[in-house]
Amino acid sequence: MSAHKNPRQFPANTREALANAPLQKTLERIKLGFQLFRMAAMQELPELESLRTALAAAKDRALAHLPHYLEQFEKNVIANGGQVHWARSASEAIAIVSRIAREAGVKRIVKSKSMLTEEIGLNAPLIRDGFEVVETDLGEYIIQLRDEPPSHIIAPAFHLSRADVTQSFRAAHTHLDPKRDIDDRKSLVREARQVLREKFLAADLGITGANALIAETGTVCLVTNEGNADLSMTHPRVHVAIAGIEKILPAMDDLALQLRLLGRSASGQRMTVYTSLRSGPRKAGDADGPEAFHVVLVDNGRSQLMRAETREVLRCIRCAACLNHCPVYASVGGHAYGVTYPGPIGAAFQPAISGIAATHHLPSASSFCGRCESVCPAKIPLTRIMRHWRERGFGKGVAETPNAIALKLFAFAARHPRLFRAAMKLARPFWHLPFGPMAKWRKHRNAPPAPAGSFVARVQQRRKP
Amino acid sequence: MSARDDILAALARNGASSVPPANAVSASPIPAIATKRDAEAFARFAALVKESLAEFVEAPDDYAAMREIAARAPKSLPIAISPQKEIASLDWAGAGIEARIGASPDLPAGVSMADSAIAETGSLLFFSGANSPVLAHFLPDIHFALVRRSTILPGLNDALALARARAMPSTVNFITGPSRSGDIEQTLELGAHGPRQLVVIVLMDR
Repeated sequence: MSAHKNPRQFPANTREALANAPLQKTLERIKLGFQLFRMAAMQELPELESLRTALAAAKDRALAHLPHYLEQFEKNVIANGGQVHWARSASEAIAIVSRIAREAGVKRIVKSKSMLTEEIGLNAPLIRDGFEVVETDLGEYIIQLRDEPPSHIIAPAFHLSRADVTQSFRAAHTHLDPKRDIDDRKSLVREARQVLREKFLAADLGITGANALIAETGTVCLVTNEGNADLSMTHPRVHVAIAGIEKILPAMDDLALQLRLLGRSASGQRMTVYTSLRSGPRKAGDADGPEAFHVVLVDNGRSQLMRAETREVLRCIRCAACLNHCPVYASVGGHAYGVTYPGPIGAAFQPAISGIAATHHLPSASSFCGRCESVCPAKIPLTRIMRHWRERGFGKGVAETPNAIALKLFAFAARHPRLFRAAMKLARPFWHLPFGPMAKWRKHRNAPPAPAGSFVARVQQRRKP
Repeated sequence: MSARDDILAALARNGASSVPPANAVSASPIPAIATKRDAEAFARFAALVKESLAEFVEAPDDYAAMREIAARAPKSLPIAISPQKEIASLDWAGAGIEARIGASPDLPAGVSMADSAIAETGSLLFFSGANSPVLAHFLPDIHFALVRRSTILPGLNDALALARARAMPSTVNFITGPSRSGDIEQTLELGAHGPRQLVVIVLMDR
């Protein structure tokens, strides 16, 4: 059973996930962890609503003038002594990073957690190009050892148990005593620390993502709880930060706003343990820091999302609150979606980068209950954007065929009252029975038997004098 | 066309503007928790440091601070002291501590001095510089962080403004508690990559 799923197979993936007992047990933690932590963290913030409105406005302002702010950011990074590269696509971004590494004579690369590098699939080509690439976020390291994609935006190994990790560490760390005890979490974390510390100290290049790019100063902001971004961006002699173009914030005050909402929305933390700002490589006389600093700005479908119908998706700060409050995500987990970004934000974002033909199931995997929107720190209208993608899917004829046929039949019948009445009369005694054409639909839905007469017939009956 | 030109053109096609907004940037609301001053700020900072699972210690002077460090650091091993002038010049030997100046991956305990602190979040703020290695806050198992009470700021906006006033050092670190990971079974474990233990020592300079 592979963790790499195809989004085209979403219905089958969900059935597999629902039947996966260990996964179902893991998913129970969403409610007791993320949801309660977030709620508790918002208690001391009576201004929450106005802060969410302000963050949405700040991101909208940045997006409305994005070319200006990107150029301002670029100018300031260069003024700080760094370099800026632009990539239209995943393959361009990969080629840029590989070229930087080759030209700097790099052999060993450490990576801090970054969803964008998952989106563009950076690791495999770099390894093919001959570089050692090691993920250093504990969750990312675990799934790298297992060759799995992340199943959650901020908790990549969310789907795994301690026993899975023990097994992976035993298989990978063959240089350590095979009789050592690593059955508890504490010793697993200690072992990862020890193994990865050596990697940090030996690496020539550190790759990080970016939580925000601040235009007015040419600054990259990174947040982690482990300290992996800091060791990745400080010790190696080259630091490459790779970021989506939508990560721009005009000013430092906008960053203060984003930071207030990011940690609380994500993990219920007032502030992530490490929040770090990189403005250029080490300055003359600095005690440490990288000798060279590069920023790779990646489009990969984002400029197309700038259209009015989908622009708000680009407000996303990747906190994962929408996943944590989504009844669909809580039922099937992240892998079933078969894309980099699972849950509501993925349903709104992923069609732009993977195409609606491959991803049309995802915006349909929602009851439109709207919990995702109600917790989104940037007030992204997720259901409206999912509806947009549903329409696009239907328009392109890629939506699920039986549904499309059923709707067409219904539309035809509804426009022909006599045919409609006849069809209803025929179907009334049978429609709730769990076999026949409705069997599949009935499997997860209740269908009470229809009353004896039709609605129209009963109204007519009552009207009779 | 270069990738840069292409991306900027695609954004413009979809309605984004290449000139700055005409009106001044609207100020974002500052929540009440980010406006505390003096005794209130200190009380909030102390409470949040403890909540972040760091240890909170008050020291009336440098010597008291060194004694607190000596009492907690592993015995018979030198302590890595960040080369910041204010702490590198202290009489560590007089406090019974073998000081090794500089950040070190080989020593379990390290000391560095924060440039400021934030009451809103219970964070320490460090600026990189000639005598201020970033790694001094990340390599040790036990990190002793000194901070002057007079440098505690109300909120994040003040801290970011201070970083700008210092012309954006190449690295600015906000540190809020010891390193941790919840990546295994969503259960918190301390000491993922950075310090397992953080001891915040406030020099009560007023």
